[in-house]
Amino acid sequence: MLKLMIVDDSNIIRRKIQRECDLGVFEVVASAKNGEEAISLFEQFKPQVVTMDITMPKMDGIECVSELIKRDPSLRILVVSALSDIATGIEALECGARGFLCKPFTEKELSDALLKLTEGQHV
Amino acid sequence: MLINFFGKYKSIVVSIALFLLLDASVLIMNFYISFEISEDASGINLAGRQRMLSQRMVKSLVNINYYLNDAEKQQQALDELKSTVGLFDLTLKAFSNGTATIAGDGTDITLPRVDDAEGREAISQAEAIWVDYKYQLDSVLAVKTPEELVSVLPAALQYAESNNLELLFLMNALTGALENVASSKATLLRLIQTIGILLAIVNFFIIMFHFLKQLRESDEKLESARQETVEILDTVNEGLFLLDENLNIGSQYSKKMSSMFGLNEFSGLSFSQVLEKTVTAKDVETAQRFIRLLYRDDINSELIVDLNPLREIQVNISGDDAAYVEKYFSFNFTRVYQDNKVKDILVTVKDISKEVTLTKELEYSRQQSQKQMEVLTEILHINPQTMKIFLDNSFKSYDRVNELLKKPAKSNASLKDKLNQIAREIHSFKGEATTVGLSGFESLAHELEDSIAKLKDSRELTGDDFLPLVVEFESLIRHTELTRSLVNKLTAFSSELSFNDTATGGYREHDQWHALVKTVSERMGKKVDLVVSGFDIDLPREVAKVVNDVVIQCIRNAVVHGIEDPQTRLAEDKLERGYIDLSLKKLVDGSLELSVKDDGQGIDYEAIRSKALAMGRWSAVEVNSWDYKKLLPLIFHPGFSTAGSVTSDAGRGVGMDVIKEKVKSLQGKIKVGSRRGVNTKISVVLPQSLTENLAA
Repeated sequence: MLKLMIVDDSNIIRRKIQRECDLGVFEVVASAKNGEEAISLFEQFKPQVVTMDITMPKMDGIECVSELIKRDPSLRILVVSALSDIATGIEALECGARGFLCKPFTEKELSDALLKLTEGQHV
Repeated sequence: MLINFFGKYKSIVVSIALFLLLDASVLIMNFYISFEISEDASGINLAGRQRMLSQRMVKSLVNINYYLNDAEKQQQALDELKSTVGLFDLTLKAFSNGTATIAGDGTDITLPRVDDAEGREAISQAEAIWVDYKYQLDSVLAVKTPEELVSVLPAALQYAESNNLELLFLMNALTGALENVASSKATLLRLIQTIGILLAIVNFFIIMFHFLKQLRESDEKLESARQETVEILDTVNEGLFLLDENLNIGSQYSKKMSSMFGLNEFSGLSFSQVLEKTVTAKDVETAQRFIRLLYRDDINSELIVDLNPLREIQVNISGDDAAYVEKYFSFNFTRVYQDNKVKDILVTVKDISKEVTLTKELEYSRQQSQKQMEVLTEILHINPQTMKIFLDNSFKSYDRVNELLKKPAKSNASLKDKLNQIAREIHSFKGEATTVGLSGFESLAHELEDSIAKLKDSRELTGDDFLPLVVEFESLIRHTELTRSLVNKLTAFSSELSFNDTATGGYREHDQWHALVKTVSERMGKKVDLVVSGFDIDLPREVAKVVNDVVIQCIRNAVVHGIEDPQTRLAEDKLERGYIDLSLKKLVDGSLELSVKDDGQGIDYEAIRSKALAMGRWSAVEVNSWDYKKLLPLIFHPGFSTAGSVTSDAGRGVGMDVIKEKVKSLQGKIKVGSRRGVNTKISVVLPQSLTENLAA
């Protein structure tokens, strides 16, 4: 199982992602409500996969992506954000994220995206 | 195999190999024959020396005879004779048997045996003479005393005189024969060289011909492939081109591009050059950043589809007639791989204006009909007389606002005054809409007030500042006109069909209830009959509404939770069809009793208990200790539902608690009675006072 960390300031979204991820492929090891928390939880749990919100208090998604990639360049980060500003999404990818999922999303869209994100990583 | 490795080049490889082989064999033969010729040359040389040796032998004999009285010179001649005889003998044997002799420079040399017929003949004749000759010479060389010499010398001299010429002649013949052999070898060598060169030339021409043919064939193939590409690119109804890593457009692109982007030549242009007149600079920049992401091989392209900024983009294209047409393009970017690396990006551009326009129209008409529905709902909740007065007042008010807007005003003060008057008019209109309960009007008026308030804040006013107000004001008028037209339609319906309607809501709802029971029971695979009685009592509107809400919630619950499916009912000796008795009656004390009774499975208290546990609000010990009196009220608890799964018919948990609130708001009471497996009865009692003013 791949270790996954959820980063989102909305607990509804966090719970939604957690529900979908607990289905056997991923193990949700941490869930953070802002960038700062994400960094410290990353150090503690060393997840391999991260779902990342963009707009968050205390260090936004872009900065958080850069910080996490600095610590682990092989980290697979899926940006989960509303489509209001495409350029911000692209910026997150430029900082090292590897995929983008548009909010709102269905459970299937989320699981498809996570599987594509981690292609070749499953044992 | 190596041949397979060379693939289509194998014929050239074979040709070159053949050429090298040919060259090598010519070279080897050349080398071999030259070697032989050089051996032959030494043979010729030595055959010539034999002639000289035969002459020297005669000379030595003559000298021996001449210096009979000079011992020293005689000895010299004898020595010379000895070495000459030895050398001649050795060399003749070498020619005959192919053995070694001594060359002119004193080294050993092995001669090839002479096999040439002429040479052989000369040698054997020479050998025949040489046997006797050598015997004579050896006896001369063997003498020990001068007397002995004088006795053998005349015979030797005589033999030499008579055979010397013959021997000389034979050695000449041998030389000639060897020369002939050498010369024929030289001829052979020339022949081989000539043939070799000829073969090389032939090979060269074959290679040339073959490759020219192959080149022409592959050129033809390329040309026809190019032709196909051109046809595709000319015909395809989309923009189609390749972008390289520097985001430059490739040499091949579809013809449609010209009309789409209004350019004639694209080859070598950068993506931004093509787009700069079509979309905003920001979109161009975002698109370039997006495409660069596609070149990153750690990103799955399917995971960034949503980030394509040009997926549906409004474009600014000036058509031939220079008329402005709103157009939308859809750009699609696909990776082109070569050796597992992204080499180019294939871009397809589609004109999706029609689709977008259609979607917009659909959305607009959907909004319109939704608005109409809202207006209709509002109208139906309002007293017709009130509605009529409100509409009349509205139009009067609009006329006043229109007058105000038209009134010329120049100074800032008069403009401000004008604005204030409009504000007052709109404000009182809003108040009226709120009182009547028309929230649509209320919110439109509210927006208009907001805009006016903003204008009030600005220090200097001009006539143009009123323009946005006019727009908003017009949308308010349109809303009013829509309302009026709907009211008119309803009036027309009402007079045409003249419903025998008490306007109280009463039994008009029967059909709706029957329909509800039918729909829900069919969806759940149940069979249910609804019997309605006593709803001819006139009720005030708000009471009728609560009654209707209670009936709908209760009969829905009865069908979903109460009545069992046909198999279960039959198994329990019940009638296959379930039955709901719905009645409304006036009790002796003047209060109203609404009762909903079904002959289903009754209330399942254990189901309520486990749901209560699942809700997690109470401890397990507590919940398990509850009896039915404690459990029953839970069905009125907010968020409570006992249905196994959430369907549109049940399980949403927002039913009974709302009903309870509504009944409570009318000071009514709810009673629930149930016998497990037999029935459930819910009755609602509403106090007398509610119907009194109607009766009065």
